[in-house]
Amino acid sequence: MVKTKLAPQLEINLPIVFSAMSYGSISYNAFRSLVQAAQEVGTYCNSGEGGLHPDFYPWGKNIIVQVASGRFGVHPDYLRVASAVEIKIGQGAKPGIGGHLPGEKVSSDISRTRKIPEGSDAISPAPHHDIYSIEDLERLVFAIKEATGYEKPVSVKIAAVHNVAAIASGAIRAGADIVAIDGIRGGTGAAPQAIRDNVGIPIELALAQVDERLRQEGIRHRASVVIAGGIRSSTDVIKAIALGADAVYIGTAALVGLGCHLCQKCYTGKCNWGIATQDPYLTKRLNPNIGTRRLVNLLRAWGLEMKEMLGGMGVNSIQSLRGNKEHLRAVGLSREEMQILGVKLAGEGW
Amino acid sequence: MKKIHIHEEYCIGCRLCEINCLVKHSKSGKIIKAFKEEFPRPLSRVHVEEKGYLSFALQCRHCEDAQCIENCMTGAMHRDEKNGAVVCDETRCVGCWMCIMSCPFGVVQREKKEKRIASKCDLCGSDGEPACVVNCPNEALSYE
Amino acid sequence: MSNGETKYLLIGYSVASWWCAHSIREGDRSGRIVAVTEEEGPYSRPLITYVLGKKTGDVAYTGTIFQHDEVEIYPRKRVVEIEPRDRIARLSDGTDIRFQKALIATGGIPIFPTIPGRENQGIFTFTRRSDMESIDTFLHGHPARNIVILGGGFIGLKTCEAMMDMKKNITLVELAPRLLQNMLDEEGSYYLEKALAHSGVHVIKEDTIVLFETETDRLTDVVLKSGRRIPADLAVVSIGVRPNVDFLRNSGIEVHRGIVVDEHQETSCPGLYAAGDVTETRNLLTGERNVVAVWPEAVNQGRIAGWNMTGREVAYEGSLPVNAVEVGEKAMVSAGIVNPPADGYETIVRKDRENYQKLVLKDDLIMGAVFVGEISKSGIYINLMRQKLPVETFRDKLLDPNFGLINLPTNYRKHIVKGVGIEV
Repeated sequence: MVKTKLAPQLEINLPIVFSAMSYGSISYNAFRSLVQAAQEVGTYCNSGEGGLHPDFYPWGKNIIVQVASGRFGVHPDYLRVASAVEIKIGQGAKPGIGGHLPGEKVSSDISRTRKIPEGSDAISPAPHHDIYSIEDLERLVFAIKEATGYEKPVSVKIAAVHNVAAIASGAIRAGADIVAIDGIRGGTGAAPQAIRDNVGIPIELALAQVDERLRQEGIRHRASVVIAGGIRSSTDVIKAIALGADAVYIGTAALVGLGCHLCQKCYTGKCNWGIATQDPYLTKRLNPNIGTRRLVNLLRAWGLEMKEMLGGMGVNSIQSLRGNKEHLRAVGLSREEMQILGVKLAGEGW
Repeated sequence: MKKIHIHEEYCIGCRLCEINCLVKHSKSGKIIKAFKEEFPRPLSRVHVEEKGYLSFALQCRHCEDAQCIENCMTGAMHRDEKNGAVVCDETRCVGCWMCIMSCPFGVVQREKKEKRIASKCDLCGSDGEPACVVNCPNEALSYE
Repeated sequence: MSNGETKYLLIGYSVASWWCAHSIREGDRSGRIVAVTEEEGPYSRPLITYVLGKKTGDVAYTGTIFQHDEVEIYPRKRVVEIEPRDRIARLSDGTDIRFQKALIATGGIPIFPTIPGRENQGIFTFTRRSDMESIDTFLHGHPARNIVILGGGFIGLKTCEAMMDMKKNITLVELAPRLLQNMLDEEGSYYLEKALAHSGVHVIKEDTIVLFETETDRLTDVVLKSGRRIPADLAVVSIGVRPNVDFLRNSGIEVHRGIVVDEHQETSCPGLYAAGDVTETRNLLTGERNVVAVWPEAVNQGRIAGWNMTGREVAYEGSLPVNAVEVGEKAMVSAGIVNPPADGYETIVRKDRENYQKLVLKDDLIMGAVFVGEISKSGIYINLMRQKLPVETFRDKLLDPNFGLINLPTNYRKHIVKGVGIEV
């Protein structure tokens, strides 16, 4: 019998969580598909930094809400209704810079959700203006824990950059229950191209380093690590878990499930598939009931594939795979890469 | 009794329901033949109404208190015992158009076959789901 | 109960009585209902012209309302007198029926003006099955080619259509300057006349028959007021009907243009109700009292009467004159006030070569509608009239070719149909 009181936990049926895509950046129907699918599969959907439309409050059990630099739509009910709260420090698609939702996209519904005037630009500043050190982060983490009665885990999302391991370590020491790391080239079509394509480091390298550092410091057990950025298949999930992740965030893959064709024109607000748009002619093209079915299909298929792979590896549970780099072997990687990843060359034995 | 439910928030106005309804109620049941070789061209019994971005496919609502049945002077317009649909018995219909002027939805039409008859949604007889529902690509119609 | 006694008596057994019986049975499953009718049995009276024109085989009404109503029918009998105080009806065969509640639904009888020569063969009115049968028999016995129809009203035109189906040479004589005087305005009538002319019907307006010329008791010509002489083998007089109320002369029941009823369809004598073409009711739109002799209102009035007869108080909202007809491939629907007096009314018209549509508005309410040609959406407008829905928010869309339910206010359109999930 364990007497220790456990920190609040999130339980997922599948190590795959829908990553942060705000209502505003994606349509109401797309968001609805995500939350409904999350509920059906038994995982979570991240609200992004755009607040949470009151219609989605009933799905709170399957929603992680975000507190980002703009603090859009953050209020006590918003924090209370969700299962977990995520503080967004950085985003893989645009590390170090903020966000900008043009005023034209701020319709009445979005203005109500974000708690900003209709038609005004929604600018997320690059930094949190109250966080300039790990100590500042700690204060925010505990402010949120205080606000939610220490019942909900708090996650800190950071972008994968060169000193990501130190930042992750700091975040955990600041009280984060989950560290989310977002690798280079998150799939958005609405970030400045130069930043999107050039700032940040690949997620697998970052993950291996973070995992290694946390183990060395003896704090790996204090937080879960969730990674995001370029997870495209069940194989990617398996590799991420073997490299030390507890779960992965999928964003683009989920949108592809909804019909996204990766045309990368999200910034125009004229998404043909009714996903990244608020145009009423376009949003109705996506029926959330169909969307939900497709997403559930996607997750179920990946889940089955992952089980097959686990079977192939002779591992009987996904937990046994976590951080188990012995199950990985490298082909075509340089010695340095293998060293950073902590993975042996194909053919090398135990 | 099952009814066709309209979900206007998902109707994209593609009008595939109209095409499939027409084909379903044609003699040949084939799309090319129905459009090119059958004269007069069979009528679709469902119509998409559009106003700006709002659109929906409207067919007979099969009202519980159907005025077209009450006002039919031959008894041709009747309720199908099996699926509860309001249907017109074409052999009895004389085309007096009492049903047209009674319908608050405007979904009964004149049709000229061997004689003139009132044409309206019959829920595609009793063969399962109506064609408009089956073929709606965005599930803006459902039959439940 | 003896044969001479009944709980409910229906005098006349056509559509108003059918629906009355239907409503009675909703509230009273067992009470005896007796219907007295001059006819052989129930049939759909408006079908007679279609049967004559061979559009359908018989005049039977095949609707489902007869199935459960268990009405005892006394055919080929007429009520000749009513004693409202004693609740006794005297029949034409001399017997009496004692009743608790009665519905008078004797309908209308054709007006037949005294024109010299009218007693001869070949001259008919056309309102019941027997008329149809005698015309049919006459046509079988005589090779009639030239048909003259007096009266371009509803029955006249339907007769005209039946004769067109029989490929006869038809002349239509109408006293008014337009056809279907109560249904159409002059412009609408123009479209109809054009369609009739196209089908070979000869229309003479502002004229009437003054003499039926005969030879050995058979019609040969008609002479018009203008002096014209038109060859005619058969003439149908259809200048209108009047309420069939002669048998009420000594009953004390108040009769004005028709039998006067209150909003429960009850006459001035308690326990006696009236419905259908025989009654004078309040007009839904104008509030004036008049006889509205159309099928849908007979249905409504019959139902209301039946409910009130069984003690369920339901008020009649008022009658709306509506009618539909197709002659010479030209369909027409008309409702409400189609020829408004000049003041306070506004009309909207849309027309092209084949179609004519007109709406009459007053204070943002639709008061009248005429549709000639394209009529599919007419029911929407008529329903708006019935519901008295103000049109201000979609006034500019009225008569738009794409006008439809979508133009109506959402909360209204969602509630036209009662029933979960089937709203539009």
